[in-house]
Amino acid sequence: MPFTDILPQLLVNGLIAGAIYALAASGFSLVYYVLKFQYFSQGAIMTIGAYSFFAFFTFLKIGYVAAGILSIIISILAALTINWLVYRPLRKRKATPVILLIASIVLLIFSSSFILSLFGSSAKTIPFANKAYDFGIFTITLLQIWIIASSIILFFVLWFVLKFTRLGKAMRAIADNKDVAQIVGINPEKIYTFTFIIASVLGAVAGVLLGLEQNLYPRMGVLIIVKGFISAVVGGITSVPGSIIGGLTIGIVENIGIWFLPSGYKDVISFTILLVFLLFRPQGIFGKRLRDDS
Amino acid sequence: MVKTDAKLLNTCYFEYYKIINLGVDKMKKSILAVLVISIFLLAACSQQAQDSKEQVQETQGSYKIGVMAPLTGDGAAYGLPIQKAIKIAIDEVNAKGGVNGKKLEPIYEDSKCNPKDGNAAAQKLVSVDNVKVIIGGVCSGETLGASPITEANKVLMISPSATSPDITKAGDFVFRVAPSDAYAGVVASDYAFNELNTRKAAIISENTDYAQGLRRVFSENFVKLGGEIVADETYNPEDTDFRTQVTKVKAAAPNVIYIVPQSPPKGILLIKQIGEAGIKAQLVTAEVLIGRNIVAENGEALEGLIGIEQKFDEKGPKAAALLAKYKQQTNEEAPFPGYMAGAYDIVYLLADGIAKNGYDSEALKNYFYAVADYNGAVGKLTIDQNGDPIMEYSVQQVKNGVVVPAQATPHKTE
Repeated sequence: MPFTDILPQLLVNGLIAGAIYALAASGFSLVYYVLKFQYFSQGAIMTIGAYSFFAFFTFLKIGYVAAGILSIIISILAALTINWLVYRPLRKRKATPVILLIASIVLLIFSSSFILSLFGSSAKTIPFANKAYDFGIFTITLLQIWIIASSIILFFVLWFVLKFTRLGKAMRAIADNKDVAQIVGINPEKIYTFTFIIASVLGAVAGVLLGLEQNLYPRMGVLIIVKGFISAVVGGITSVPGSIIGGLTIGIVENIGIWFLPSGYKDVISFTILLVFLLFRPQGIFGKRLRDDS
Repeated sequence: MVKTDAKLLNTCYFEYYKIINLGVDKMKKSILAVLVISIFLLAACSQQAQDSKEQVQETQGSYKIGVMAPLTGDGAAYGLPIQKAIKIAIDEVNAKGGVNGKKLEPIYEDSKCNPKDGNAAAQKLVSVDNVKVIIGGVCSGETLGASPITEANKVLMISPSATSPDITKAGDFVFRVAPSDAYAGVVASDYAFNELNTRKAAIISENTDYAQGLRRVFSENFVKLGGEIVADETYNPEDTDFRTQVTKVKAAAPNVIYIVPQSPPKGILLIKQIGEAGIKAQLVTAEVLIGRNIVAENGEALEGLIGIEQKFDEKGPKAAALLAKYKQQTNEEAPFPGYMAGAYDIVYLLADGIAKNGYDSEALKNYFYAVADYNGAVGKLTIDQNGDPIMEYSVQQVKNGVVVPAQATPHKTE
């Protein structure tokens, strides 16, 4: 089959993978934007969101919507607990971003072991009547349409919140200069809390969709947040909507790339892109060049 | 015993002086800190020396049996049931008074289904626990990772389930009671070519020792028979998105797809994505996905799947007893009955070997090479000159959510 015939399907594959990366990247990027550290624990929040959805849905047998709302609440509580127990004391001690980064990796590994001890190592499937649509040139399932749609909706919602709401303005003020923002009366801790809440909503949605699409296993968050991080860097780590574009870019390039290369090279492709961006455009597609003092 | 303690204390003192000297040379300020640290170190060292003394005394009444299996991660899906089967057998032997009046003492190590952790697990069992015998590894990768260590130390290693063809040549002290995939791949490709009458095959396999071994054998034999491999795709163990591999396979329009995942989660996901892509070709796999609990939980996704596993009579007296005991203790059907039976037999063979020849790896090695027509839970077991078993295969199929024989006459491995 010639490449042009298969291209639509490859683009769709790339969009699906990219949308998942984008969902993972958005929360990561938002926390980086406001709190200025690499928030790898977002992977933990995604895993917690996915597993609590699974638990509510299969054990308590409540519907999709109720399970979804409860899992978002659990994720928010988890993130706020982590912030309260780990990040806030570290911030109070003026910990450097490197310390916060290490803490976030520790939390990520801790969470996957914690989930392992609670749910066991075997993969869990959420029973979900998924319909596949065949459009001739490509096939896509209902869930995959949802995944792509939610990443696009989130792109606009995040952009709108940051640009036009009071909360968004306060977040941008803190991101821009925390001290000046405090002088004009913005309470950073309060804004940090809201940032974690929004990031957790994004994380829970990402985790649930990912769990429905790719099954659940304890290390799911660890694997996906790496791709989320690459997406955030490529899209511009200081630009929250940019991270979503970054995710879609990585997804599409990976999937078209392995049409020509053996499929084992998928990760090589994304890491090569990361390297190229770090060398030649460290601010990413949408990011602003960071000054040394920021 | 006294010797090892002295050696251990010597190394501890050496470390102690090294640290002291370093501290004095470098900075006067840090002397206090170094002293404090070294006191702790010394305390820890003497504690350790004492510990090992106690351990030796305590275990004088037992034979140590190392066990290597993936106890966490995706591989735990077969590692844990096999560990349980070993435990059942050891408990039975010990309940009957053990071997020569001594108990068998298992030491479990998590080898995580990969060569790196397999190597580390073997290293620990050989040099810390001083075992002469290891049951394991469960996966091919961890077994191949461990074999250089066990060979060099002349430690017997017997795997209940590692099937990679490379293990045949892994060493003189390496045995297994599961058949080599050199035959499983041939059986799968013969079945696809002759019984299913397909000529265009695609392969999707995981990048691991086990899966690549099967892939190679299937592909070589299918071409030799006169068939064509129209697509040959792989994925990495961490991957969860196989859509483009599936798209490539779909574009090649095969009649049959040979799927070789290392562990059930990835395999189920792969089959799900194959189904969503609308591919109608017959799916053939090895043994991983037809584990009985896997099929029970994912019957709908796996419907119609053909799998090849070692022939195993679940109704044989020893096998039936083992499976019943497993069900009674865990409340689930035995997921990989053939491998679990193999693990169970290894324990009994070891007990017999130790009783006859003593706890000596050289003597036990000769004992295992001489195993012929042993009536075990796996059936009649004979070990060949490479340390491989001579066994038969059966072709199974998932029908209405249960695993049933797909073919009446099983293939001979030799």
